[in-house]
Amino acid sequence: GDVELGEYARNSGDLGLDSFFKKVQELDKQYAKLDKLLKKLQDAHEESKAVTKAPSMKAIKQRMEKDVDEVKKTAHYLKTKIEELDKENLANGCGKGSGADRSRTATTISLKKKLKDTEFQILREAIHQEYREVVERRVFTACLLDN
Amino acid sequence: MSMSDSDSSSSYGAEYKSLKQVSRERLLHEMLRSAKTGDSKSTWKVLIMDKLTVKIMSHSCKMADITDEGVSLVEDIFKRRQPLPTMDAIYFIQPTRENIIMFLSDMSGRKPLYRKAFVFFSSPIARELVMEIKKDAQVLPRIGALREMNLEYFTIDSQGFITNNERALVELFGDEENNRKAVACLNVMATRIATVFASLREFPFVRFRAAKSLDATTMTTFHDLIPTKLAAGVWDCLMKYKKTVPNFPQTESCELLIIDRTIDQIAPVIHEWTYDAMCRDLLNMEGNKYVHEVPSKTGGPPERKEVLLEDHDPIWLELRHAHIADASERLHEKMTNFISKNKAAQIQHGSRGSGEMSTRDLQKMVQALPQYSEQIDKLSLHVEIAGKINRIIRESGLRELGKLEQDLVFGDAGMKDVIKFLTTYEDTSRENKLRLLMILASIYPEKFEGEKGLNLMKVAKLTDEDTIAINNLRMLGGEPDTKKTSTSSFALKFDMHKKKRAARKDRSGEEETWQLSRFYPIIEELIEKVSKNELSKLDYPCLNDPSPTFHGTPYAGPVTQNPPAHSMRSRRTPTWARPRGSDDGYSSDSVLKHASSDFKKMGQRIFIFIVGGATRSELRICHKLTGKLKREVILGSSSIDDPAQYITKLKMLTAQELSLDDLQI
Repeated sequence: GDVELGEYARNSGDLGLDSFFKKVQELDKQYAKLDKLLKKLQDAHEESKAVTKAPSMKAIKQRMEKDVDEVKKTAHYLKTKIEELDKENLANGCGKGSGADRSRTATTISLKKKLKDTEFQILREAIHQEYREVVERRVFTACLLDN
Repeated sequence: MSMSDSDSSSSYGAEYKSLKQVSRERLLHEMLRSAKTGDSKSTWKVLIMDKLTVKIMSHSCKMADITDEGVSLVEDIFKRRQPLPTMDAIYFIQPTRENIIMFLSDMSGRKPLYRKAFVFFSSPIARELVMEIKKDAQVLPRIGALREMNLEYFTIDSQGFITNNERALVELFGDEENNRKAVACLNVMATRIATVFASLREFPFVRFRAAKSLDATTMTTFHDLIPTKLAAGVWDCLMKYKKTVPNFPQTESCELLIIDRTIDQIAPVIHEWTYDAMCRDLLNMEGNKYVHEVPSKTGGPPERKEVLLEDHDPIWLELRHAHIADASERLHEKMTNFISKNKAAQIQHGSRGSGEMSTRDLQKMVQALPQYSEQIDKLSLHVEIAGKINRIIRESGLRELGKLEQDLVFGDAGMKDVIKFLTTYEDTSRENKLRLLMILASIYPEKFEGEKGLNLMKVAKLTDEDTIAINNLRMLGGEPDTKKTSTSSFALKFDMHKKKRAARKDRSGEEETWQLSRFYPIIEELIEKVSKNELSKLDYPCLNDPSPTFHGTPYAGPVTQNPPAHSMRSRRTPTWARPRGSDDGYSSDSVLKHASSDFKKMGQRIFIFIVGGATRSELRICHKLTGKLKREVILGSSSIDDPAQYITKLKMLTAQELSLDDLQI
């Protein structure tokens, strides 16, 4: 019955794989969070194109700065955790080529690929942010000259 | 009682999808995504397949796609497998007794290998095997699904499939007296063809080439009856699907024409001058894989890099059916356009001199970077491939050979021209000489009888083994016209002395833009006749013909006036040059969706199945006619053969004879 199955699971060394997938599940949640933040930034970016009043622009800018920081933090966390998984995969007791080993490898590669795609979006948002700061400084200079 | 309960339907009201798309979605969504227990959302699974189903899967999906659906491990059902009792397993297997024995031994006993098993059979399962499964009281509670997937074909193209009967030509047309292998081959083929219609939810009119020697004086051979028997087998399967597959149409919704390799023995060996065919003919490709050397970035020796020439490559998708000269020209234009338009390329190529890069330039470059990296790699690859092909064409004198081949086919050249060519271009490769003679033998089979044939082989300096290939063409039957001509009166014979025989007629209205592009395979005419409902009922009967008393317009879809042929010189805007939205991530799905958008407002599908192998030129024709007829034309076959593969199989038709000769010696 269930008791036997549970005991069998513990004896098989499958415990390591089970905890591996729990970690992967946690990382999937972080990815979902990251996707949500990037979408929010994208929306704010579109919103800023239509804004002309300084106070509104300022508010959007503050929100975006906060979100960009959050994005960077989450991405860094993901990167660190994936590197940990890589080391753990190398150290795990499963024989090379075994089912558990191939399972770990395939899943980790999948996570890395996802991060690589996301990293580029993050870079793009950072460039946008920097560009806006440059524009602001130029506007300020122009105002001084007018006076 | 069938276990089939596939519940998705590709209704006509919904988006029109190509065969490849439907297959892909059925495998990824209907099978992998649906296999889950209710308690957890993101449980990882094991996928277990056999030798055939792993190929079915890999022809439609990438490993990344499979991983995205929650599969972390792929296993071979016959290999020893590590127990993973906390994970669910998906079995995608053929319904064979061996597979079922393996499955039952996995999941029975006190310690099953997996927690729960979701079983999908690639084709209909026999009733007694279902009973075997149901008898096992231990396994039953551990089964999460037991279904017939009805998907047992390889998609080789958005509009092509094969049944993977690689030995069909030998088993069906060989000289073996025993028909047991042939019958088994036909049954497998019929089952697999039917799964295509189950997947697409299409119910075809089943037409087939009739046996040609249906008169009292001649005995009908098994070879003549192959399309007839296959049509009957497919029909039996379709009748079962009509009752068992949900949403399977009850009335006819498309056309199926079953023919075999005997209808056209020139297409398999004549040089086809499209980019796709040239790649396979001249480069040593393995399937869709091309291996080339890339200069190492670290300054070491060149690295070998493998690339796949497939639908996910937009340049390949656009150029593969173009004439090689056209493809070369367009690649050059693409590279020129690319450099002038792409921001990253502009900056990298120093269009702004040595000034410091501003933030704005950096912004534009970063935005364009994914396109740049992606496209420059692909463009460079194709420029290299096209250059290599053109070099081989030059070095091997392929242009002269190609011209002679096409002249032979259209009756502008004859025996004397071939002999002249063989003596003039003595250094032509053996393979090319053999292919030339095979074309000649298809058109003038009597020239290869007895002493004349032997002399011709000597002039060409070909081996006895090569002679076998030419002699075995006879087993695929001569042209019906040839027989009539050979029985003609003396006057006609005298006339024949001057007039050369043509295997094809020049097609009026077709614009011949590039040299060596006159040739077309026979199926082009057949498909057009199917579309116009003009196929002869005597030569191509239908198992489920509409009633003779039927009045009004033909059921086979609207016969619209054919639009004028699209000039190959007028080019559409290159797809890669279109600006993409900044949030448009690249994925193979988006390419497929882009491809399928052209299918809106299409008429009914036309399926052509060729027993004994199909050619790249025939696949090209299906794409061409899809655009021309506004109906999706899908090519199916037992296999897709390059000329070398076809010749090898042809030699094997009398393999027994060879071994007998060896014994005598």
